[in-house]
Amino acid sequence: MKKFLIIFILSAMTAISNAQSSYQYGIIPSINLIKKFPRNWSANFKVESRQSLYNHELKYEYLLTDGSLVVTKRIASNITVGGGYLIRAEDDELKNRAIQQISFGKKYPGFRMAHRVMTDQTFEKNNKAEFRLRYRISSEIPLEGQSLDVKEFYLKINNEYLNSWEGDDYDMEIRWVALLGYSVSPVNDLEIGLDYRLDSFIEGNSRNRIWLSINIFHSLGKE
Amino acid sequence: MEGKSSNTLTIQNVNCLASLKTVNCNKGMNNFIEKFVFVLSLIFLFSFHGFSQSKYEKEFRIKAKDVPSGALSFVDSLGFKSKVKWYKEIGLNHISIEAKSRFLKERHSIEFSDNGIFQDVEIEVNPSKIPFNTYSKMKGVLSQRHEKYKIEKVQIQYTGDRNLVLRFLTGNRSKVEGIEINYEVVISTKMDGDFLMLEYLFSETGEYVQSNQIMSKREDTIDY
Repeated sequence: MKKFLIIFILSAMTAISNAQSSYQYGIIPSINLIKKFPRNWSANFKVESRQSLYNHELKYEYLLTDGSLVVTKRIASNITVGGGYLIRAEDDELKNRAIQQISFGKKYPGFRMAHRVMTDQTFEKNNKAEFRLRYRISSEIPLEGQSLDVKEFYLKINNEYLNSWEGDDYDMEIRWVALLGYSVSPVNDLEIGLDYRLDSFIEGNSRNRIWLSINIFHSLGKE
Repeated sequence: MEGKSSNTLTIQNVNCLASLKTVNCNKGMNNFIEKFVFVLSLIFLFSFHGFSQSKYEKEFRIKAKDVPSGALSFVDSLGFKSKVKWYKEIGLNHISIEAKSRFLKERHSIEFSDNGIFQDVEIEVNPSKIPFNTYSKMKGVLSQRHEKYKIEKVQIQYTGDRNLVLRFLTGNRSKVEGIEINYEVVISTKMDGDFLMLEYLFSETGEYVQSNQIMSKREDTIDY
């Protein structure tokens, strides 16, 4: 089974690297404001901006800004369900996206792991609606001890698979994210790292996007 | 009038967000960046406020050469085949040294004081290793206190004279006089509508000794 998996991955990588690929590099800074409410409710307000630094040529280009609010409720000690809304300002137009998600988290000796299944629907003028089904596996690994304490560094590693349907078109995007985080205080985390996104590899030329990701998390109302 | 101004401002912001890419909206872009930097500065301000105010417990990895000789010789005598990881835990009123390793497929955790004096050994076990009557009594206590709960972890805790515990661990692990046995059980449950983790301590016969809530040291962000 392992051999088959390795052969499959190597074949897929060869096929991807042989195809004509485009590469884009840029930065994605984001600010997350998290607020906990009674009865296991929680809200995350996020603002994220995307800026390109290289796309065929070295050139700064502002791309888009997202503003989103996702509200979640913990329904079991390790399960949260949630829904939210995202507004994207891109190319002089606004896109609207509805979000639904369920997350399963668990703490293991030395690291934490979470699985997230998400669906979203994106609507914009003059374009067909886009429907996506996403799965993400994330792990958070403390770098100084078995559990993550304040003023300690950690690694956050994500791998996400996004299935997208737009009319008759189907595409898949794969994301790999590796971030170095620092817990500044009980309510503040800073993260910096790389976010690699690969799409359009099923049909046509694959598109590779590599972002420098900078995330700030702040929890409101808790000191 | 005030309300009208506020509405106007909102609409203006939306229009400029939508046209940030255009040359004509450079002023809007600058405003946006200024606001972004302002919010960023505020967040950093909050960060360092939290930084100076926080009181915390901290656990971090240390090297074997930094471990007190008493602790090192105790663990060396056990002859663990798996790698031993050493940690130092600094709390509000105590400092301790902890050795963690696997032995016979079970996680062992051995705690010492800051100067290497033996405190206790905790071994993570499958609940089936606990005598049936004792485990039934413990579950009875938990059922009385919680409508619904899930056992996350069970540890057997051995305390007593250092040499007796050492003899117990290196021998066939049958009960040695002078060693106190307790059971530490971590459960997840729901109390007053909130999900939380509790750590229970039971005696060798399954009597309730104490319980503590396991507090999260920081806000979890892995879901976002």
